[in-house]
Amino acid sequence: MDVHLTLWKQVLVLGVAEAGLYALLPIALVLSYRVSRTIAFVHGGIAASSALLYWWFVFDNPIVPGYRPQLPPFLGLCVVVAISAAMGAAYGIGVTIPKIAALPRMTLTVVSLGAMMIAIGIFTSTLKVVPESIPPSPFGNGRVTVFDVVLTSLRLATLTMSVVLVIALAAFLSMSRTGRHLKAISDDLEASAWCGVKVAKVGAGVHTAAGAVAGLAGALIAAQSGPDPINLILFLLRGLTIAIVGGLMSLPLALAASLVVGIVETALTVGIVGPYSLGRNEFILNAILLVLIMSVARLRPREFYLLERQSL
Amino acid sequence: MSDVVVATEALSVGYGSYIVLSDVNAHVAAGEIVTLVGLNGAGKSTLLKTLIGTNPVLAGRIILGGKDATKWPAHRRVAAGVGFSPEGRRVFVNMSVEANLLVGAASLPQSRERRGLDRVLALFPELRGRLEQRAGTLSGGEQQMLAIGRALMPGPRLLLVEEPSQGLAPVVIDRVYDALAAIAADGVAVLIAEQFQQVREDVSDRVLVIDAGRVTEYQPAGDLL
Repeated sequence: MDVHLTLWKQVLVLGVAEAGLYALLPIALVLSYRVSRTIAFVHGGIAASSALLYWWFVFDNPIVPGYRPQLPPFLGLCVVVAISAAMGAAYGIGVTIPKIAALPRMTLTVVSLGAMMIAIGIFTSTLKVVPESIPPSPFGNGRVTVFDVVLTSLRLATLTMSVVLVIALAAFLSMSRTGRHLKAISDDLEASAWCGVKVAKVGAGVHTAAGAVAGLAGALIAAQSGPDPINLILFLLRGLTIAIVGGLMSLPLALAASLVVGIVETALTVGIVGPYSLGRNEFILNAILLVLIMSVARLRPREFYLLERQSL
Repeated sequence: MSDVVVATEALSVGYGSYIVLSDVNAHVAAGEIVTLVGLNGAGKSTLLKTLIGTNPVLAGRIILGGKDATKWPAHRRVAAGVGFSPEGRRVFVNMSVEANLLVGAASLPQSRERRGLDRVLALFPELRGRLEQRAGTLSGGEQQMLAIGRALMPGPRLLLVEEPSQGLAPVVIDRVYDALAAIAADGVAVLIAEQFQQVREDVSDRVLVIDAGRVTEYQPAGDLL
């Protein structure tokens, strides 16, 4: 009984910590969807690029050939987040050009998907990453004990940032004037422009913020699991599924979904339902996510069936 | 003509090589109600959307309050005093009535939002009890009042109203037109686009006819004798 209790305690603590990392990318996806009503795969590309860039900026293993700046990890994180914000801004400015904004949503989504693949391709080939090499953490190598479970300072910092970001952004979006304008753009872009909302400015600003958050997510993934492009793409897909739980509109629901994913995945990994099996674990996890998505769609149809008119 | 709020000079508008409006010369003065009538596809909607700034101009000029506003983006025109109530109302259906009205005040400093809200609620007291209600659940008439109220939030000098009577019962149409007359009486220039059968000559100071992209002044048969 005690063994089971200890195991569950570990699952909960580690799962919640894992959720911190999973919550970051959905924040970027939800923000960009709220302003453009398109799935901005480009922010996945920014996250993946920032993982590769973070590795390049801070990894200091002399065995790997090629010049790298070897920045202090925290400085490297700041640089990568700034670059990601600039990439998000460039995308935001591009998609708010009236002729581009008038394109069908599906076209913009495909453009975004293409931009993601191009970004990953360019950075993977030019930075000569070594997928199995893990760069140092921007938050040091400290350890923290939470309910008798040892967590790295990286995981704790990631979780803290995710929760703070979700709470701060949710409050900003629901209480500020800009949040109201963002909601109006999401409802009807053209009508927002007729009301005097500076649509291009709000759109570019939101994509900049989403780019910064995606960059943060990518750098922290690299610090935790390394810059393996395959892992990064799987992480992006997981982030997308989590964002869909909230209809791509709700930050708190995305955070809740990332908690479920973090805890369930940790439970399956430590063998709660038997020996580790990747296929079975993925099946169980995705089945739970599907049930979650359907439940939210039923309970909060507004999140899923908003009347759609135009996008940026 | 010092009280002219908006004027177009040889205005041409189109999409690519397709010309919708050609050589349009028109004006609306302060306190005047001008009704623009025409068949579906004649260019009424295009003219109004060009005046608010979401359709590009091919040739000619738009003069707003004496200034050349031809190249101004929509948000600058709203800030300069143009309000637009579009066809189909286009209220933000997933937002509350109050939030809809406050979005209408996007061009105002936040400190002046409340004044705009009070002004609109004085004109449309029907909306007062529904401020927390989601706009998508309002009746057609209430949505029309909300759309006009939203356009009035920044206190415009020119109000563009597209098909205000569309889909409304006669008694509600009267209520909407009474409100438009009250708005004009306050000195606002009002340009209404309507279908032929919905024209309210009793409320209009002038009627413009738009046909195949050209605008002409309507002369009642009696005036021609």
